[in-house]
Amino acid sequence: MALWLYLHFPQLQLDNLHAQGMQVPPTIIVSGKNHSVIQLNRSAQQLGVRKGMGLGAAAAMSSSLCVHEYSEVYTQKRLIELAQWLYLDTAEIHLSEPEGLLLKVSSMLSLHQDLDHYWQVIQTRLETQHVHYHFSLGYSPIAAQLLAQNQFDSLCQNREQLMKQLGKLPINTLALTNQQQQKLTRVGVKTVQALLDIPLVELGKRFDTALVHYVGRLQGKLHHPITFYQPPEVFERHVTLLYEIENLDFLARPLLKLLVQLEQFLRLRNKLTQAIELTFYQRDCDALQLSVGSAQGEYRADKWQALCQLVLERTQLSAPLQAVALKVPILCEPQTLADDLFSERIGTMTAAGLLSTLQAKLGEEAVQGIQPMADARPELATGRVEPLVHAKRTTVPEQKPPLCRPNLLLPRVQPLQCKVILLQGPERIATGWWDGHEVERDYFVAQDENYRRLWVFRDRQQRWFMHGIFS
Amino acid sequence: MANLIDFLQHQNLVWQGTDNAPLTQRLVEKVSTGYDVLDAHLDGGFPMPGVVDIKSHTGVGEVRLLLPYIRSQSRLCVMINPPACINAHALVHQDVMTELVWVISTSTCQEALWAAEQCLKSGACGSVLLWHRDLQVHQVKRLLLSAQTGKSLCCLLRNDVSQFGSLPVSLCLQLEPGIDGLKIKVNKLRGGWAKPQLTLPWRLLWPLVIAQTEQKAPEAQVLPFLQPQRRASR
Repeated sequence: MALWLYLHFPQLQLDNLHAQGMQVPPTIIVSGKNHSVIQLNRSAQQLGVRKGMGLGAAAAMSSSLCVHEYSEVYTQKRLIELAQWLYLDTAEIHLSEPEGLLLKVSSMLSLHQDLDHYWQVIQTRLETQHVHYHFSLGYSPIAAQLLAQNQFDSLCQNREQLMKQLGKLPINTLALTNQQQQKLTRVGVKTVQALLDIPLVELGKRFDTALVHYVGRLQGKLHHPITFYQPPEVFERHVTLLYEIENLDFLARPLLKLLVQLEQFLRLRNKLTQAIELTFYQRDCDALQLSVGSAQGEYRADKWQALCQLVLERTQLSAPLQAVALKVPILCEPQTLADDLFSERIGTMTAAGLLSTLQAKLGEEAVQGIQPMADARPELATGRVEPLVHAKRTTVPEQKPPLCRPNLLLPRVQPLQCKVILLQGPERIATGWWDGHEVERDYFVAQDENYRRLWVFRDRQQRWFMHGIFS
Repeated sequence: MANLIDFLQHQNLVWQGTDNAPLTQRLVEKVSTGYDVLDAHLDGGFPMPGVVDIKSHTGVGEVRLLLPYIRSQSRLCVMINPPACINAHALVHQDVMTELVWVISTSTCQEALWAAEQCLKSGACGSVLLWHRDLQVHQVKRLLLSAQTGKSLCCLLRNDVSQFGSLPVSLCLQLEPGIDGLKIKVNKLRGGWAKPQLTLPWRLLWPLVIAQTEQKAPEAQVLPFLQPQRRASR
């Protein structure tokens, strides 16, 4: 029979607030339906707040009580994160929502010396996540779950002992409907032991099939179908900040935590990413989306932080910040740099790294490459392109007679206003009749009184314009 | 007294002739400018790594003066805040690889200096052309240090000819156009002696323009319809 390990996380949402590593005020998490306290931290407990208390009663205990609403979506997300984290050490994980993970132990034991060793590995993994948990082993998924939820917290794998422990539990801990429980109490079944003592056949005669199925699965006699967790190849994290942040400088620490998680995620998969997406949730405002890019691909947290810092420097918040999310949509393979082993490495960065740094600080449009276009009109002959990172002198220059063109081209043509001497020309450019930007010009190289070399032209109406400077 | 001189020397405030200069200052690597006359005049060419200050009005041939060096580089050339658009066709016709040219435009001077520093010290750039007006001593020092890290050349192109005051640059050139050529005045050359003014003939700087004007000279008038013929014969 398979052995199962159940991990029960009673206060995921509260643990996340604590994980931000600061002094947390007395905090309670209140369920949305009947406003009763369902999670509370130690300082809240010291104030006299108890589980199940109403929100009004709890608030009366202290004025400094910090109240959060229970978020089912968040808990679910966090559980998946934990499953993803544990997946690195154990293969078969079942998400037992809302707040439990079921691990199949028996298939993993062949990789470990014994159960203790396996448990140690799991424990050290959980330690880094700063979550409270209860655990138990069991020979059926439901048995392990029941014991863990009732805080058995022991690594006992003796079948009789586990059964004995299970038997002590009252009947209302089972996941049965009220009707079923009433029926059982009416016939005097008050503990699980009493229920298990009745043979399944007898049970079937007196009660409905749902109960029989449940008890059969509890004992491990009936098959319990289970779907196992499959990790996605997307990194997505969300952090709710303890306090609202108005100054982006204070964001560095929470952000670094996310980036460190990203680093672990990427390193374990030997992947890099070229872009991360940050979402800032602002109070009463639309969320702010930022994209940070690194052209060469990067996984290290400190490098990403440096890039994020540059982007944050030119970001303006419109309202205080409440939460941050980090998403990495696409992973990429690390490229092997085919550098010469013997040539000396100069400087601190590669061209791709430099490009990402510049773009992060100055914006994407500020850095541009240029490219000659196949157009005779000078203003359209220069194309603005994304800067190339791996440029090599591969194209053999065409053997055409070189034309005389100015290095600097004015953004728009200006009427010629100074006295010039024509040095060379004309060169007629008459083209563009097909796309509405028709040009018929005679270009000259001219020299003005200060001996500057200008590129001037005369249009069909004999008007003179300046178009470029031979700089 | 000796202490004071040491202190001043440490601050690079004492100018010494080539023969007396300490070893660290004497061994300056030079890289050819691409013009033989200028190389001879500057004791070998541009200092590498270094900061070259070029004072001139826009449009006298200051970029053209640097192009042979840029062409010889296999690393990037970054142009920061040029006064007008860089013409890719012109670069192609002068045999410069446009793939290696980045153009950066920034909104503030601070950002321009920051970008220049990043480019210089990255090691990915062979040269940085920075169009900038006023520079402080400490800013130039930072640029020089970054250039040394990345083994690159920083060219400051300043059209403010009148600005006086010594900046800690490796080489300071003042360009002024004349009838027969570009007059180059060496205001400062680190570890070198004072130089007389040099005139770089237009024929060397703009071979295309001059070749055709000289050709044109005997003819009294150019008839436009002759143009295609002549171009075909070249």
